[in-house]
Amino acid sequence: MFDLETLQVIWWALICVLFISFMLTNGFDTGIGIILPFAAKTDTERRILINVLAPHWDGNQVWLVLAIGAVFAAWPVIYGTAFSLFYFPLMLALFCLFFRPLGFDYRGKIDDPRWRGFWDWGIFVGSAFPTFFLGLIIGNLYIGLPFSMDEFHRALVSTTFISLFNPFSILSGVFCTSLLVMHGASYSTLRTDDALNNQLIRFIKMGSLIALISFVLMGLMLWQFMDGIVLNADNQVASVKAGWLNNYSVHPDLIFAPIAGLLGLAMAYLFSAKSPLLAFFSSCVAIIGAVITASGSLFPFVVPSSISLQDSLTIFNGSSSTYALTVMSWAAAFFVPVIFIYTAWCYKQLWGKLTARFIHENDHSLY
Amino acid sequence: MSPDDVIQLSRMQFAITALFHFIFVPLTMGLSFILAIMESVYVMTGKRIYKDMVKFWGKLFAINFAMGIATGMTLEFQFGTNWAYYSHYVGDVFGVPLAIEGMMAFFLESTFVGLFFFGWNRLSKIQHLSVTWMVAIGSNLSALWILIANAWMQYPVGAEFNYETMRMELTSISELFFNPVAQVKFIHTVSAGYVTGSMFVLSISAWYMLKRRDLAFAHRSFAIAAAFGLASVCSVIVLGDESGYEAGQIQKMKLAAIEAEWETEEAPAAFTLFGMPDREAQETHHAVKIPWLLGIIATRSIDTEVKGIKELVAENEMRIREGIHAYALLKSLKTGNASDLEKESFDQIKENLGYGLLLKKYTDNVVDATEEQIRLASVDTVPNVPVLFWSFRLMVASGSWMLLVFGLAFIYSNTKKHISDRPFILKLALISLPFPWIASEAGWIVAEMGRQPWSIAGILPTNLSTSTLTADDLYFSLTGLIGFYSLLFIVEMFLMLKYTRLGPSSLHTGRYHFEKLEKPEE
Repeated sequence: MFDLETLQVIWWALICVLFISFMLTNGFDTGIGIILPFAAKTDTERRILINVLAPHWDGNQVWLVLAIGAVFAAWPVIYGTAFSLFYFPLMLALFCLFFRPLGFDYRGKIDDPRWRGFWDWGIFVGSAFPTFFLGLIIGNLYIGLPFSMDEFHRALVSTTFISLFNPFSILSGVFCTSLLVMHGASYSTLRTDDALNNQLIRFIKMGSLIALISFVLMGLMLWQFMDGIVLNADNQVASVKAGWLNNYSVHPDLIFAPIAGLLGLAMAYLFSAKSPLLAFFSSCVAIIGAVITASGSLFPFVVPSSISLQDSLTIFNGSSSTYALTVMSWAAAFFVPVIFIYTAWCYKQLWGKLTARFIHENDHSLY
Repeated sequence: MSPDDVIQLSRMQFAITALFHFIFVPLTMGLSFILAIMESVYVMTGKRIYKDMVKFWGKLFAINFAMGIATGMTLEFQFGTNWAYYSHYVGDVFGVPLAIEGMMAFFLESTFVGLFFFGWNRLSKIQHLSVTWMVAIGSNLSALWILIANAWMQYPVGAEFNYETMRMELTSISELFFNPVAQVKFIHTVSAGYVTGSMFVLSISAWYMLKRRDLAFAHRSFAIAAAFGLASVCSVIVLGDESGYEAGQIQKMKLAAIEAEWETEEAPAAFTLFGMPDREAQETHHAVKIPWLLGIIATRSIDTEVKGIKELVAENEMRIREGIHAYALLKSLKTGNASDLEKESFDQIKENLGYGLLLKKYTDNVVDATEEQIRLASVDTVPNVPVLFWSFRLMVASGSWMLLVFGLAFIYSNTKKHISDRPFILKLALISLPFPWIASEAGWIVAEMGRQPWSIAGILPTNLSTSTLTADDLYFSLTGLIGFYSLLFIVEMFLMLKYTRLGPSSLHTGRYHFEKLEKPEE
């Protein structure tokens, strides 16, 4: 069908699409989970927020499962190397993630304030920490990671948890978290009525503002204070100042990605009180812009090495074979559109505003 | 290569998390199908009680399902976090079914499960029924693809080693899909799931009837579970026998280890019913044998012999010697200036490369391995015989017991005398609740410990598959996982028991046991 290099670029794009879908859908579940204990004070208000995502969180989470599965299948060595490099944050994220599905499903099953309070914080922990760690992990890709490859292509990994905390990666974690706070809050304004909305609008503003500031700061750091690596014409990897901005001079169109990110964040802030729909739309634009900025700046690198530049993993040296990628391309070409169609149908069937009255009338069948 | 304790801890961690995950998976597979059957009956008959049945068993399904999701993530993370070299070495093959599983099955199951719970008032009867079937089909398709991946670990077909990329690469998706091990394993495993779901419904319904509660509700649930369970348990056993035959053809060492058959016997081989396998002495003490039976199961003939462990070890020793040559050729190929002749001869013997890699446990310099090291490595190809021997018998005994229970339950739920008046059968059903889980967990121990010392049979030794972590990393994650899993399991059991006790009263329809007690006028 296609040659290897084309397939590698297609799969890079597809994995970006999967991560965007994950951030857009699972993102508002996560955002709602983070603001749950703060934005909603009474049990009924919290139940409104949880039931906004109740029928969908499981399907949404599969975008993450699929994104990781696609990384495994399309970039096996990248998957193995990155996941063992980030052993601690991933294990901690995993422990926190346990509390999310259980929180959603178990919270409403016993009518006791201590039980429900426990799960409210469980959902918060299961949403906030994995999101922060995701940002932390992505931030560290720009710093580079301590690994090299031996002659049998085994990744020799040495990393400590503390070393993953540096100004850039922390900023990236803050960015990721505030981005999803904005997204979760703006999605729930579509599905709730006035009383709760005023609370939610404050979180849209707060999230978009912090995200905007950290986004700009990260850009400045990449430009002025950090080295990045580039792939020279002769396939040699070189470290240069502001190297992560190199792609913007090679492909000037890429500049639309950070612009979309910035504009989306600003618009979400401005529209938050006026038009929930426009605010949510802007929030989506911001997320799409941010993911493309993040992956586009790294391209073609995925996991750069800090101790052995030549061993840095790219979409070219880290991908699966032509045959495997071709098989999966056919599968994706068929299934991904089908998934979009039936997911849309499910949202359509269950769309509508959630009110306190609705919660009380369906006390025993809702979360 | 990683230090020994990292390998042992990584194996332990994967075993614990996979076995824990598989407490919830078979119940999801089985209950989703039972829910679909109950709802089909509701749509056909229009009787409300069947709708209540779907809703109530659906509540228990939800409690279990959430745990399945929470524990499933661990496994997806773990291939990368703990088995990085494995991921690199076989991801080109192994990752493909996993990715397809996500696209084809997980989405179906997870997207529609929300609609199943929250769509009752939004969808027409037929629409909702279709949604329920989608959940059932989705959960079963998930099993299909993960078992295709697992079957490839047992019997790696449709792939080839590429020395330039130092990994296995997929050469045929259809061979991967139609892997005979995968086909047998899929039916065997999903049927075991149906048995689990059926036993769950059967036992709990029996308990309600013993307590004389909600008789109409419990009786109908019991009847459905008995019929579905009987069909499923027959399917498990027939396919289990098929796996025996398939193992006799393909996984000879596993079969010999399960049977603790140390020496090759004259055909047809006897089946060892019980005995005390002794790894040191390489013999089975106090063996009680049934003549002919093993030969018939494993070869479907009376004149083909079943190879014993010692003979297989000797064969493996030859392959290890070949593997040393393959390894030497690989080394020279990696230098980049190998001759075409060397490439050719590598291609001829590269199927034995994995056997050469077994020596990595003893020496980094495989080419100069001593006779003693070769002998040790060949002995390593024998899995843990007593564990396999006993796990297998535990699985088969549990399965046979369940055949009996489902058989009786089916017969007596179709006689004139009402089943609720047969306390003996009901008690039998109640105490049988743990058996599907015992059988499943024992079955996985047989399948995966029987694959040792390989992570991919004949290709990649488990010893080489791990990430370059430290033992401390593993102690941290293992402690966390065991701690959180214990906590969550207690919470889950607490909720499960609470809702089981409440029974259909938890639906608050006003028609069931506790509600009637509160409001006698209804």
